Amino acid sequence: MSEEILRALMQLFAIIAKQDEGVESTQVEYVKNFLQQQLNDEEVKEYFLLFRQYSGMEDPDSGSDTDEDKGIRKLTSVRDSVRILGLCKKINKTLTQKQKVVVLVRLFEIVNADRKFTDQRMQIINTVGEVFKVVKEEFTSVESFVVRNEAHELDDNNILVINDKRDVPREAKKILTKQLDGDIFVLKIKSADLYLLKYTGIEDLFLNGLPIRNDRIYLFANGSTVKLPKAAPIYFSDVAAHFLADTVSHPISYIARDLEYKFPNGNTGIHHISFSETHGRLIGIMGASGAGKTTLLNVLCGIDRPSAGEVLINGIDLHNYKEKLEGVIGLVPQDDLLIEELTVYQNLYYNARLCFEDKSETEIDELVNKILLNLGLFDRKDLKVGSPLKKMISGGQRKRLNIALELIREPAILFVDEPTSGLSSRDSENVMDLLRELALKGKLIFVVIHQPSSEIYKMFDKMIILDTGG
Amino acid sequence: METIKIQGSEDTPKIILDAANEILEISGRSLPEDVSSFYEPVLNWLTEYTENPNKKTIFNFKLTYFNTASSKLLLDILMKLEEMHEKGQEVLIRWHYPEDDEDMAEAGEEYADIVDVPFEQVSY
Repeated sequence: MSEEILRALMQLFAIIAKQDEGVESTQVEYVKNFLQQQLNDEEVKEYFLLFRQYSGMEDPDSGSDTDEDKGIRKLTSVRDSVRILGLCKKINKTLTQKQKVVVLVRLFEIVNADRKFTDQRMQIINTVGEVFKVVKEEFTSVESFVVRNEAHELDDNNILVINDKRDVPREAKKILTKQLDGDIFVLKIKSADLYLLKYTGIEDLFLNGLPIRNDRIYLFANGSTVKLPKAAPIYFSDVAAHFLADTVSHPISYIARDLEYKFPNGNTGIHHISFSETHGRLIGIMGASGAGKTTLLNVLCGIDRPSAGEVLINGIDLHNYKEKLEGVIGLVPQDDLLIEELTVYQNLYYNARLCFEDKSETEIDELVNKILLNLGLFDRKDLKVGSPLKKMISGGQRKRLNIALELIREPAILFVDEPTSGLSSRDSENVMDLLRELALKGKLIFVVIHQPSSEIYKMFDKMIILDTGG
Repeated sequence: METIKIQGSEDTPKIILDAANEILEISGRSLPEDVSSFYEPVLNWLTEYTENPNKKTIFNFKLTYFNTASSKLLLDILMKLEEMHEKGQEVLIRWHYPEDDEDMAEAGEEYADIVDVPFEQVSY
């Protein structure tokens, strides 16, 4: 979190905390705790002092007490109200929607610290939500997620409950686990594509290795795990799958039957391969170099015709009736397809122009921005792509942009050739996380991969392993 | 253009929007129950007004108190005026505050920082 944002956040915290009867010790504790999680000791002191100054704790005589002599309920000072707007506007300029939702959650939390949900405090948070342009329904679902703690009160279809009780919630999604005190709740915020997590029991749970406190709300980020004391861990993909399960629109069946491929010189490339797959799966293809991975991929996606056997997609023969399957398949080759002179945005934009001749300028612009946001490339959209030798964006970003070029058409089946080669382990994971998520959203994805790390290996639903000689 | 005249009360401000006589003013206390619906006609009026404004627009704020929810709506009003200013029309905001009310004066300053429009502070 940047300095400027932390500063703004301290002011917001202070203004909210000092409403009504003034700052409570639980809130001071919360702010301290919050800072300790982000900063080192030295900086904690600095920002904590800021909080004390803004909330008027440093000089109790001035500022906040002016209305007391009137003997009426103290109202939010007009200066504070306007200051809030100013802070929110500043935050609006620098933070993404996702981060803004996180800020909102933190504001709810500080009120939750002493559980005094007064009119004035809620009005402030409401206003912040409005300036941040958080959708009304999502605002209320965040509110009830923070405030409520019982499974029957949190029965909403954006919520997933994890507990050891057999009863099935009416609206909420549910994962059954073994021997767990209390409940774990996960809230999905659709517009920001964000998952929040909280735990109400007393056992020691760990989120990505860090202990979970039961009075806090956590971000449940892509690839996270929750370790339970007496049951199997819960992975992000399990949770995401529950939420995405009802969004699948086009079922796909993909059947490869007795595929065989001979190179023009007569050598056999593929030797009788059969399998069948359906939507929502991530399939890996591994094998030694020269084993025919790329050859297999080319046959599977319809570029090369097999010498025997067939590929059926929803019952249609891919190699004989290609035109019927137009737009269903996407291929991301190993080499990059970017135009070096253009920016990230332009690369995608012109590609989209070529794909959709009937869409208007604004539709294309929206589409491009949406996909850039989804793939985490939005901040980089005005950078030139540059050549692989003279890099302007990182290798991982390049790869994601290449995937974006195909994704913009929304193919139902995606073939990706070595998406991780040449990338750092962190970048590889990002790219694979992206593919994993796409699979969860109902696409069928084939990935040729080399040396997957164990983390990445675990993401696949199935591996096809080839040996040399086909 | 129609004139809007809303009588003030304990919790709602007095509002006059009269284009013909060049009076645009909000005064009093603003803590209405439902802020959005209270200010909706004001914002609609301004939207219509921006299409065919007077040669010079002076908007007077003479408030003694407003709550947080109102502050957002006041900002919406200011932003409409900012839009006009950006289009090259002559706009001036007069922010009146009681001489001894530091809070209201500073609120005006904060607003002036947020929106880019000529802003004049007047104490009374």
